[in-house]
Amino acid sequence: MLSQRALVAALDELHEAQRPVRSLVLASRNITLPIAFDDSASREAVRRYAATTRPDAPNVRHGSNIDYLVEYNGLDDPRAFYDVVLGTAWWNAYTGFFPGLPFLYPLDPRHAITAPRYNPTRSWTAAGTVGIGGPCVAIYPVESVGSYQLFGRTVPVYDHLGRHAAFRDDPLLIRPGDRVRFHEVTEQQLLNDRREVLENRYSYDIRDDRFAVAEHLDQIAPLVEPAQRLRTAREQARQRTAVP
Amino acid sequence: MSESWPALEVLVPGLETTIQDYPGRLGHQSRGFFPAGPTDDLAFRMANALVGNDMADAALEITTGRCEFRVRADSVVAVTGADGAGISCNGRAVPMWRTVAIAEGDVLTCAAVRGPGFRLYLAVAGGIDAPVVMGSRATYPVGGIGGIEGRALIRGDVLRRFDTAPRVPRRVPHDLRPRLTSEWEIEVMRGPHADPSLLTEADWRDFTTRRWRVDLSSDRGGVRLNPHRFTWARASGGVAGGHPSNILDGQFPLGGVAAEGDVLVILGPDGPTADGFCVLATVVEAGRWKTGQVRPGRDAIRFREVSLDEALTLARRVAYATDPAHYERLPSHHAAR
Repeated sequence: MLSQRALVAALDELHEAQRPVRSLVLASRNITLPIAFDDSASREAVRRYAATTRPDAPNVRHGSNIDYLVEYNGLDDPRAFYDVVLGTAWWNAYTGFFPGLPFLYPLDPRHAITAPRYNPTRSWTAAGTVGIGGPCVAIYPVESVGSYQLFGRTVPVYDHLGRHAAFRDDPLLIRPGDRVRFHEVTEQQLLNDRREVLENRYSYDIRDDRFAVAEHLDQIAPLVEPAQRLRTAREQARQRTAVP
Repeated sequence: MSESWPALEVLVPGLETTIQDYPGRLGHQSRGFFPAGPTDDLAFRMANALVGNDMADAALEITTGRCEFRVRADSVVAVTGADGAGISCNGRAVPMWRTVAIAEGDVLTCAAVRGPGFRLYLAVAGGIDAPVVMGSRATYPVGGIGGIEGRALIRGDVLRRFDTAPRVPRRVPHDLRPRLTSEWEIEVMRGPHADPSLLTEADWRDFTTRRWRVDLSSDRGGVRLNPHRFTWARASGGVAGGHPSNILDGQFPLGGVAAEGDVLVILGPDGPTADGFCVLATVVEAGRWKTGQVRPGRDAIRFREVSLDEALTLARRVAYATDPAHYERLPSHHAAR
């Protein structure tokens, strides 16, 4: 067994060996996924939560979390919220929670939205549901517990049975460093897409690419100031909104 | 790999009976897999030790009893875990914490567990055969892998066991058996997220002195405790979320005590690998078995802070108690087959 001292020394060494972030060029695929906003699976999770766990949760309004997300981020209406989600690529910083769940951050800083988590947490979430907690957007890969505010649903991102060719080599679709963009579809279209995945007829839109951190930072440099103004406005809205 | 054949047929599966191995599916946390494996790893290892198995061999975790098996091949087994279990073979009582021989055609029954304690472990000499998925046979229902089709046992499942040489029958001395109770003291080390910028000293004292009730919603994913609002050292989690327990998402330790809003959750082997909540304390490895034996909706827990030195001393005690060299040898007719 490794002693605590040896473990800390090994971690320090690893940390020291890291190259400067600005110099990194990473393998990073562009993945485009369909999303149906305010769909019935995310509403079902909210309904069960209100019925079994917390009937008076301030983040549940009209059977969904969306109106709460709109108010918490100082936006005008659900459409404005959806446009924030659709208008940027989301960077998978790391994978965790349950198998294959990506923790996604917006690459365009103007699209930085936030949300508090459920309190207490939710006991059921449908696979494929999309939600936000803190600054992270996540896709629930499996049926599970959860704490993020839900706003839509997408296609499968985990399949240990490899029913679709995209999962044959690896049951996880999205790797750390991948970029995810969402495009809006109707719930009917999404359910059709989800069925086609199981039948191995769906075509996942995945393109190999690289991500140079320095190039990205240069690209977003002009956006930092407008992003800061938006952040201030959203912070004010946050302070006016009840927390679960 | 040696040959395996049908050993036990499931007649009554029980509430949640799963094939597990120890220490489960390690090394995949960066992909979102917690290890699965037994929630009471102490009783699990003792059951394996009693039948002469390797510690890594697969055995059954039985939640609250209420299950029945038809024996399909003469086998040597051992049952450990909760008190008040009522194990019988063809209606005759079967002692726990010792090696037992069962014969083809026998019916092995676990009555409802009365407690104290919540789970039983049934090891079969040779170990249970199941496909090794990502390095382990442990059932992980969330990911749909391990055991039989990634799920708890159902009626009609047939458990295969590997071939094995004759075993020396043994019994765990009373002094080495875990002490089960309904008022638990669980050893923790502070952190990783309990420093004074997050949690006040009064909160920490509160955490380590309060009596926490085990909520009915507890399962292999986590032991949930009664709601409680700490003072916290800050008003809000900022961008990480409005509640002061909210932090930027990061990795969780197995056995971590996460403050999920106002509810503490002890992270179990099927739990989330990461989330955005402060982990106030971590159950030390040698104390983790207790989280598999607390009874949801009935038992209570107090947390006791220990030093790293004490945690290592406790771990040595567990290593001693899982070593069959320290068990009593029984005359060989106790497990002649």
